[in-house]
Amino acid sequence: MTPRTFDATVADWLREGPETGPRHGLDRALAATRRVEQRPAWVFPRRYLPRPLAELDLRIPAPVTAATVLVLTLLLLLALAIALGGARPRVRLPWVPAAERPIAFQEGPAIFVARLDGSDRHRISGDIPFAYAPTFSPLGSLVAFLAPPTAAETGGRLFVAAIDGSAPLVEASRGLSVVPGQVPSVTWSPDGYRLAFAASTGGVSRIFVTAGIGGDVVPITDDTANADLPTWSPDGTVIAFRVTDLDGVHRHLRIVQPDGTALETINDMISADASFSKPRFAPDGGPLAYAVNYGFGTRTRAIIDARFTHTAEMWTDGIGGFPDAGVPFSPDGKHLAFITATDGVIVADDKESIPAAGLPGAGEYDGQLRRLGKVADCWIEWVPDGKSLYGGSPDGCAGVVVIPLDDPTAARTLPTATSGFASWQQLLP
Amino acid sequence: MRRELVVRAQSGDREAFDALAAALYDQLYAVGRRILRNGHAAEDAVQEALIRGWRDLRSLREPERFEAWMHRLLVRACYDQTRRRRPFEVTISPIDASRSDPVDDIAVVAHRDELERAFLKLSVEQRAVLVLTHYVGMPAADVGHALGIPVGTVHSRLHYAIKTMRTTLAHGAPDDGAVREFGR
Repeated sequence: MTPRTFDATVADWLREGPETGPRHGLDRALAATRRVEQRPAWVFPRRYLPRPLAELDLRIPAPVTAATVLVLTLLLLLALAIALGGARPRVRLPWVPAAERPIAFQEGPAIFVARLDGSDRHRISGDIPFAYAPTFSPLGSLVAFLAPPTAAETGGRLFVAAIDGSAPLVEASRGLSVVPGQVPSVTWSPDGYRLAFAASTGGVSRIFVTAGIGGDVVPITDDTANADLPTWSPDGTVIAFRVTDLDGVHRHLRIVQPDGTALETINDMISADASFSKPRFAPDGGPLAYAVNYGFGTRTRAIIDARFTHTAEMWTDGIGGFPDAGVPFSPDGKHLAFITATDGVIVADDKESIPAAGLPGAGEYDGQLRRLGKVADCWIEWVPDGKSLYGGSPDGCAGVVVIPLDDPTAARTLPTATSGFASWQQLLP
Repeated sequence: MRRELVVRAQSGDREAFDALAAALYDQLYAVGRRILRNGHAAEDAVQEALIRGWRDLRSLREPERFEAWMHRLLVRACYDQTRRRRPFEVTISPIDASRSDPVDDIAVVAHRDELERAFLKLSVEQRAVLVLTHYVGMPAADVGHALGIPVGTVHSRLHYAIKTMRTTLAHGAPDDGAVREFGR
């Protein structure tokens, strides 16, 4: 594309949007000007600093200047007294940092988007009778969600909605049905233009990739094994997913390029009761984190895997909630969060044990584990600012709870969400 | 006519200023919204620009340049808004279920999303130059006058703004080109 054409594209895009201001905006603006006197005899200096200082000096009467100095001195003394004498503790607002971004959530059988205070709330799932598991696109204007045949089922057709109402619903799965499961088998590409999902054809679950949103869907795994729980890497180059051979015994964690080539195996197990969770990439696309159960009655554990070179087990004493949900990295890649079987929610902190890809060998995790208590159940994710977690409420996941990391006791349940997964709009990079 | 209103407003005629503000409000709001990408912030910026306009109107020596002067005040107010506000806010409006051609519409939303992301990579100074040039349609000399910068700086900011947007779009391009073609 030539520079001229690109300029025209940008100009066209800039021309989109409202040409008129808000209905009463002019009235408010003019009312505000009426609070400003023109060329007053005396004004508070802050507002009129741009005026020539000489002019201001001439217009401020000496007694008023003295009174102003006196008032400012008293205010300074008061501020010092508060600072030195012990101020009252500030009111905690645990989830304000990300509160201005909307969250998509399930309420009854429908998907809604709203801010955390409940404002701007509206339904985005249209007339679809049952909908759950909303997921914001990486760029934040679209939400994908699943629509099963009945409220009691999982999986189902995959839809995409624009949160600003600028486009009608699109069925991205093109007649296929996303495989059922506790955790949705859907992932967005990092550029927000494509989706990957697991759907069953001929009795075998395969990974499909959409060409665009609402375009054709193409399988990228064959029908020799069941594949599900895809996760697109942050750099867009590969999709990680889990595989169970048709014998039901051989299990794998694999990555493949979005065009179905360059299939590689990350991890293998042979056991009828073994399992891998949904794999989660670190933000830099290097290590993967997941929960794994080696089978034979052992407990599920949380591990980080630098892909072929290094693994470290953070937790070996049982994973709780939905084990398939996996172990999400924090937005800065320095922490991981997971729900344990017995110790509530744990955050694994940095240190060298969250490995940079390329470290050889395998070892025990020697970073810090922070126990937040039983503040969530079923699933847990990071709020985009990295300062809080959100997940299923501890009362059996009847709602969505937000947990500030610096004070887990201040966890709050969202006022409107009722059940199921929720998704927080990400910060634009 | 507008010059006459400006002269009257400069002599303290509030009704004249109200008429000027009413004529310019939507245009200023549209420009502010495009620079700030946020309706509430744009409304605040326009209000601030009008207050400054009314307060400092007597300092305007060329009444016929009132519109360019107001754009200058608006851009300054936009700079102030970006310093005050968090860098990211989203406004949500209800779904319109009556639209047709869903696949194309969704693709357009994705396009807009990506242009938005690239635009937000720009500094507010670059955004202002881009909007005044490509939306308002000002020549570079007028943009320079409105922003108080040399024409060379206008061209430079425009060049780097477009380059940054192209780089951002190319970096995030999908590998099959299924739903877009710009940015490459």
